[in-house]
Formats: sequence, C-alpha cells, structure tokens
Amino acid sequence: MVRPGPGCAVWEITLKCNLNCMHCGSAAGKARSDELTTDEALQLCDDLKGIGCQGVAMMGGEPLLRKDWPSIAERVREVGMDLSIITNGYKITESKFQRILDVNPELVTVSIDGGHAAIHDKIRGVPGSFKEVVATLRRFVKSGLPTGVITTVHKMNLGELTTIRKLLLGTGVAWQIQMATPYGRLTYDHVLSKEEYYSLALFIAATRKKYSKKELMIAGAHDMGYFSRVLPPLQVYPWQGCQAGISTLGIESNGNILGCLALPPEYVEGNIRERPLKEIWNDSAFSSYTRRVRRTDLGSECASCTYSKICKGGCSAVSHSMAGGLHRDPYCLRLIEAELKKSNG
Amino acid sequence: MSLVDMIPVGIELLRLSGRESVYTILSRVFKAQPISPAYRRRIRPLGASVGLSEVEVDEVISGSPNVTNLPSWLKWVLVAFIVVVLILSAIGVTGSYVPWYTNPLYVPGTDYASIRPKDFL
Repeated sequence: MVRPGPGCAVWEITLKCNLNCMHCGSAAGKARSDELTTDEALQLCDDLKGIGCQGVAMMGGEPLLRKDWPSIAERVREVGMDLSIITNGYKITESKFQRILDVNPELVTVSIDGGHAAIHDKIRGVPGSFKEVVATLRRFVKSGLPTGVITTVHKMNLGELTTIRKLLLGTGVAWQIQMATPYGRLTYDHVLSKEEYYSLALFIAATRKKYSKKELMIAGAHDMGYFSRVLPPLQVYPWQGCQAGISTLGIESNGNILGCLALPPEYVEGNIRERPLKEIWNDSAFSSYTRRVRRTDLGSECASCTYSKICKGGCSAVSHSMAGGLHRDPYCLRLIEAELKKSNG
Repeated sequence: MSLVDMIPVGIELLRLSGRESVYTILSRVFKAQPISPAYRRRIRPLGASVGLSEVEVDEVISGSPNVTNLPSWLKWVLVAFIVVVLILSAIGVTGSYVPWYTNPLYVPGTDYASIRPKDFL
C-alpha cells in the first residue's frame, strides 16, 4: 500500500554540536561515527520527495556544523520540498548567515531557553551563548526571513518565561514552547511536575489571550495540551493524536528511520542503508503504534476519556518516558484538571 | 443560544463516556457551571509561579474551553444530525466501550519541527 508522504521529515543531519545543553534529548556533542555521506544525504533528499514528503526540517546536533549542509539544503529546495532550519544560533558567522539567506528557507528557528544570560548559558552549557543567540535572532528578523523561537521548558527555566516574552514581543517571530522530556541528558529531577506543566499551559493560554498575533505569535508544541475543560486551545493546529509515522518522520544522521525523533532508540524501525526509504515508509508494520491504535492500547484513564478517539493517549515521547508505555500520557490538561479539582476537595 | 452554539453539545454527546453526564456537558456549554472560587484559588498560584497576575489567570480560565476539534464546515453537517445524536445519546448507544481501530489521519504541516509565523495566519 502506498501511503501519503509525511508533511515534515525532521532530519538530524549531524549529531555534532558546539553547545552542551542539559536537556538535549539526543545528548548531542560528537558527530556519529557513521553519519551519512554527502552522496547518501543528497540521495535521501530525492527519496524523501519520492515518498511524497512535503518539507524537511534540518536539525542536529547543530546542523550548520555539518560542512555540506548548504548542498543538502539546496537539494531539498531543488526537488521542491519546503525547508526549515533549526539552529542553536551560536557562532553563526557572516558567511554562514549569508548561506542561510541564499538557501532561503521557509523558516529558520533558534532556541532560547532563558530570558537572562545566566540561565540560558547555564542550560546551554556555554558562557556567552545567550548573547550570541539574541544577536543571531535579531539578524534573522532584520533580514526578513520567517523566524521562529523554540523554548524547551523544565524546572530550571519555568520562571524565565515572562522575561523571554518581553524579549520576543513585537519581533514578529513565532514562539513555540515545549516541555523537556527525560531523554538524552535530561534527568527526571528536572522534568516539570504536573502542576508546573499546568502553570506552563496557563502561561501559553494567557499570553495568547493578552497579545495579538501582531504582537506575539505563541503556541504550545506537540507535547502541550490537550482538550482542557478550562483553557482555550494552546496549539496552532488541533491535536489529532501523535503524528509519528503519519505526518512526520524522524531521520537520524546515520540513516536510521523512526516515526519521530523525540522517541528513544528502541523506536528505530529501519535504516536507509539497508532498506529503501520508500519500503520502510510504506511497510504496514512501520509506526503501527500510531497508524493503528486500538482502544485496548490506551491506558485506562485515556480509554475512558471523551476524547480518546482523537487524542489516542497524547504525545508518544512523553507517554513513553513518563508513564513507561504509549497512549497514556500523564501530562494531559484534562487529567491534571481533574486531579486539581479532586485535591481541592 | 443559536443553533450553531448547540454544536459543541453535539460534539460532546458523540463522544459521551460514562465519566460525563449530559447535565455536565449542557451546563458547561451554557456556561452555567462557572469555575468555583475554590478551584480558582487553586489555579491562581500556578499562574503566579510563571509570572501571571490573578487577572490574567482569571481571564484565561473564564473563556471557552477547548472542545472544538472539527473543521468549521463540519459543524453545519453536525447541525443536521444533532437531533439524532441526542436521541442516540439518551438511550446510551454511543459505543464508548466498543473496541475500535482508527484510520490513520494525514495532517500536513510542520507541527513536529517548529511553527512558522505563516501558521498563525
């Protein structure tokens, strides 16, 4: 059976990174020893187009540390796919900046995790990184490139949100907020509690209400939500269940394929060096955990929820890391609200 | 309350489970069940912890809850079926506990990488 292609392939083009973020889910730093060669990467661009993929998000590690990133970016554009680049914004030289402008991505996104240098630098593991990322952000905005900012929230930067908001107000960037999950370098003790998660949701909802889109575009990522009894929607698009292997595809720098890059290594379901991408994507067994969900797959609380058929148990990565299995995401607004109400008597 | 405003009721009833009564759903839609002062007191500190004022928190928890998940054109289709749905719900034939498969839903977009300014337009 030939499936529609993914809307977006999230491609870690290298694991090499010049920062050392405490929450990095891939524990990036050194490049993998077996990363795809330039020829293999270019062929993969063609293969992605071949399965009907609409866009590629180049990320890492730090994608701009891979020397041939412009060739990959250009091939993505040549074959007619959208291109976005997610960078840490650190050490973006003038020539690198010009190359980004040359490839003209649909979106360039930088990561900002603190509103103050002290917090951002501590989280990112490199002094001076805040100053650089803010300067990079301003350059992107000034150049007119569509620009996004991602903030990954955990215990250390939950209190930074209002300061980051001040920084981004009126800049025209799209601000995506996501919760850090305990993969890679992030330890469980830094993960938000459910109450803190709810605070984060309140912040997103209140900011969406307080500011117009002209002032600030803000939304929760795939792990923020869903179906609150109290709060308005946090996301740009309504949540329709985990899209791993449906409208998104994860690619590791060595050619490993999985439904979503946020998932741990046990979810790798093939490698393009061993099997063509088309075959992996169209395999009926690929990503069956999202493509064919049964009510019996859901955790008990999710199975009895009004929204079970749509939600299917929330974000797979959060569910796996925080509940030990899929389709039972405990970071659910609806569930937390019920708990808050109960604890309130 | 207009006919269109009745749609969330239909949506909820379609997905009715044993955990929610028709009364709860109707009262929520009619906003006859305001957030209780005790619950409000419980939520305010959570907002304060991320720098939100009481006014900001109150405003956001008093709005419309996140119950819409269908394209707008489908709402009109739902209007046509709402009477049938009410009857079916009343006799408890919603099939909440019948095992089901879901058809994979294709959602184009960039929501798993990062959002673009264009996504807000």
